[in-house]
Amino acid sequence: MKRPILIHPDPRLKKVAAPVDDLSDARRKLAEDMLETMYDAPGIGLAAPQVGVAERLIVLDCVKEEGAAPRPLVMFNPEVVAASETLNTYEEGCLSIPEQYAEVTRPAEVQVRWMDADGHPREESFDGLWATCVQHEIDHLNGKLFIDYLGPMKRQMITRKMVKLKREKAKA
Amino acid sequence: MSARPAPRPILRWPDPRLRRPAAPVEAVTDATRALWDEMIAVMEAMPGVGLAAPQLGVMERLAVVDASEARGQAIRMANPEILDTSRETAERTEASPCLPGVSAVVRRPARVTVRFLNEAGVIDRREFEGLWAVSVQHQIDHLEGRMFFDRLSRVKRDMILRRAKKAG
Repeated sequence: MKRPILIHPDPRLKKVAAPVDDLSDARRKLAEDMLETMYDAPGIGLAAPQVGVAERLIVLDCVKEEGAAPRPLVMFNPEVVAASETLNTYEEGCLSIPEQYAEVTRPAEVQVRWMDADGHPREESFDGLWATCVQHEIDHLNGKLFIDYLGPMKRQMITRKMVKLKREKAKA
Repeated sequence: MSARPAPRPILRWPDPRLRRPAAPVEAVTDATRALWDEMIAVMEAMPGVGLAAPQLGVMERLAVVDASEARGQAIRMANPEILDTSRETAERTEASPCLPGVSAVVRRPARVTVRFLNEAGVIDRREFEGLWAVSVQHQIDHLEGRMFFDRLSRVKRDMILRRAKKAG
C-alpha cells in the first residue's frame, strides 16, 4: 500500500527518529509500503519520517541501468561506521522536496551497518550513487535534509517554493 | 532521495511533431523555467547554440539560444517573434540535432529584432546579430514547424534529406 509522502517544511521531517528495538510484521509491512511508495514516486531512497513514522528505518534501490534487476534494501537502525576521506559531489533531490535538485558533497564511500527485515545484522560498503543515497536517507533519521547543506539563500528559495507548492496542493 | 530525471530525448526527423506549429505560452511559471533549464542542458550536451521545445516533443513556443564562446549566456525565450529584420543577409552553415550528419549553407537576414517573454515573464525586445541572429531565427522556424532545409532550393533540400536518410 502506497503511503503519502510529507512535503517540506514539516516539523516531522526535523525530528530525530527513535531506534527500532523490536521487529514485527507491522514493521516489515511498513518497509514494504515504503518501497512501493519509493518506486512509484519514482525515487531511489525513502526514510520512515518521510511517511510520518518517527522510526529509524530506510529503504533504497539505486540500480539505475534500465532492464537491470532491482536491488531493494531495507535497513533498520542504519549507521555509518566508516567514511572515506575522498569526497563525491552529486546532484541530489528529495521526495519531500519535489523537483528541486542541488549539488551536495559527501564522503564517496561509506561502510554501513544495519539490521535487515529478517532481523539479521548486516554490514556493507557502498560507493557511487548508493553511498550518496544511504547517507541522504540516514540524514532523514536525524532530522536533516539535503538543503541543510546549501547556503541560506538557496535553502530559503527552495523552502519558499515548497510552501507555495503545498498551498496550491491544499487548494486543489 | 530522488535523482534528476534524464532529459527528454531529441526528436528525429521525420517525426511529425517537428512539422507542427507550437502553441503560445500563457504565462512563465516554475514549470516553464524547469523546461528551459532542461533545454539548456540538452543544448550543452549536443553541444549546440540553440534549442526549441518541439525538438524535445514539447509543443510550446519556448526556445533557448546561447551563441557565446564562453557558454553560460543562454537567453530563455517564450513566444519569440521577429519584429524586424535587416535588409543585409548573411550565409552560415546550419544543422540540427534532429537530422544528424547533415548540414547546409542557409541565407538569412544578418540582424533581427525579436520580441519575447523573458525569464521573469516580462516582454523583452532584443537585437541579435552574427551567430546569435542565425540561431534565434532557426529556433523560431522550429516553433513554426519549419526546418532549416525548408529555406533551401528543392534540389538541395532533397539532396540533404537523402543524405540524412543514409546517415540515420
